[in-house]
Amino acid sequence: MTTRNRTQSVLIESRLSELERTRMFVTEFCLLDHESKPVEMFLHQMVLAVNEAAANIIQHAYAQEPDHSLELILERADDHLLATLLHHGDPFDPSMEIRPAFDGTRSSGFGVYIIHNAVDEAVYGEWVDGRHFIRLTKRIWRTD
Amino acid sequence: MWKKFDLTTTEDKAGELTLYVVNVKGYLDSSTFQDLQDHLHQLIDEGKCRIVVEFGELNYISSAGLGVLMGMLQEARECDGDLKLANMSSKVRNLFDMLGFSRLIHIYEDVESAKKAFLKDDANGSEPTPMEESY
Repeated sequence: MTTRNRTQSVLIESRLSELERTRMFVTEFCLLDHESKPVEMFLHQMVLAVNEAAANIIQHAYAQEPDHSLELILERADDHLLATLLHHGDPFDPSMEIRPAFDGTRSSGFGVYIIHNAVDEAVYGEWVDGRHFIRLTKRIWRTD
Repeated sequence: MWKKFDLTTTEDKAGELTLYVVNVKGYLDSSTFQDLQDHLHQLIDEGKCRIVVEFGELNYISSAGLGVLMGMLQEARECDGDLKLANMSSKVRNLFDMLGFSRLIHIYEDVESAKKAFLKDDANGSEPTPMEESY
């Protein structure tokens, strides 16, 4: 069986305690790639970016209200990994992005900063079914 | 029972200086950062401002954890102390390097190195150790 191109998805509840399961899902998806495992730092940075995107959706798009869900779709497409997070909450407006404060005066703003540093591309928009999405794309760093 | 996050603090000495080593275990994300923030706040409120956060058993840190550390770093320095980090895994260190935080906060290979740096700070008149002396 080839593992070069494959897709897997999971539903995540809008609770911060779900973040651990989200990170495990990304890790397991990447490690299933027997043909060409990604290097550890690639995996770590992808996990970081997906964790931050999911946390932002739970905390901001859903305002920490329980009883919502988001869908995480992971897709291995040739030499890239794509993570798409879909939700029914408020859309993210990149123009309202808060810059992180490195002097300790504000604790917010680091999440989006991490996303932009950890992946090659982060795109926000509206899915065909009306849900909002963030799609993260990162070229896979292989061990071979 | 395994806990997703836990922390313990021990009082320690570096020469005549008293400092506090906070050992964090598990993962530090949006669901756990409040515990660390409350704990560090309490130490600083009590005037215990020379703090080493020991990361040897920390498996993961997210933006929420970074936000706490940057905020507490500022508070510790405002009360003539410092917040120094020690014993990071390569994964955790990678995040600090990727975001440029390694230039802002002192990171040491182990707790002993952090303790020596506190002694140097004291000898320099409480000025934080220059970054090039971090590892």
